[in-house]
Amino acid sequence: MAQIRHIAISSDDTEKLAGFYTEVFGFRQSRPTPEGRKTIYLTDGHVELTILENTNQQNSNGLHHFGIQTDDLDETVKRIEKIQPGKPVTRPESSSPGEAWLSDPLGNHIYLSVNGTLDYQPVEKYAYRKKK
Amino acid sequence: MNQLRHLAIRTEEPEKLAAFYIEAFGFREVREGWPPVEGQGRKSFHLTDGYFELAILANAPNQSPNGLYHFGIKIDDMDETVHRLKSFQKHVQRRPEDTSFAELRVSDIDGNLMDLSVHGFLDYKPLKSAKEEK
Repeated sequence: MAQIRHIAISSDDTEKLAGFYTEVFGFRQSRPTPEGRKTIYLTDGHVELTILENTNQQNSNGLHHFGIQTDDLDETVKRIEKIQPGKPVTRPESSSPGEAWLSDPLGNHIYLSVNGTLDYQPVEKYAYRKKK
Repeated sequence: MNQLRHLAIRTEEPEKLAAFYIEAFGFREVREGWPPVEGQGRKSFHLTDGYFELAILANAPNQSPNGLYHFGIKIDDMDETVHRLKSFQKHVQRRPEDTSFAELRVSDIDGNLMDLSVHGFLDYKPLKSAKEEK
């Protein structure tokens, strides 16, 4: 069963944007920001909303990619490569074996993952809630 | 609990893109889409994984950018959400009560578009119809 479990937005002010989503919609931080980075991971409990850092302004701000969790990565990759011959699915060495990247036929970027993006305990403190 | 339940992609080839998601990931068509003007243009597709809706919206050539367009949040309380939104931005415009789409379209503080709906996205009922049923 494949499930859409991840949406990523690129922003040059991740703290401010994360503050908006936690304050207006009550989304929580799902995992800590890696040291030295500014990407912030939020969740509603089922789908992850990642606010990607775009501090070097190397991308447009806005919707960047979405993520699909799949039970069987090998089978899914095989199926996709059959549907889109000549357009390989990327499995970078730096990524975990359960991750892959692809573009759909019209170029939309998709992150594929066996483990999903929410196998984390929500961070105890909602660090990005607006300070009263 | 407010929930992310919808993502919309705009494309000039909705049949081709919908077929990809159905074949590659087993998503199902959840409800009938329609072109922006009846009898013209291509049909949009509303797919689901059983929980989340992926809308493949028909885009007219040379009209708007193709690609990821907006996402949607199923919300618990429209008035309360609008009140919270207004602490970030002044302009929040509701759609008419009989709209066939989500009740509210807003952008976040970076300009990303989102649909907000109390009814959700998989079995959408305009507010007007829901009231009439009561």
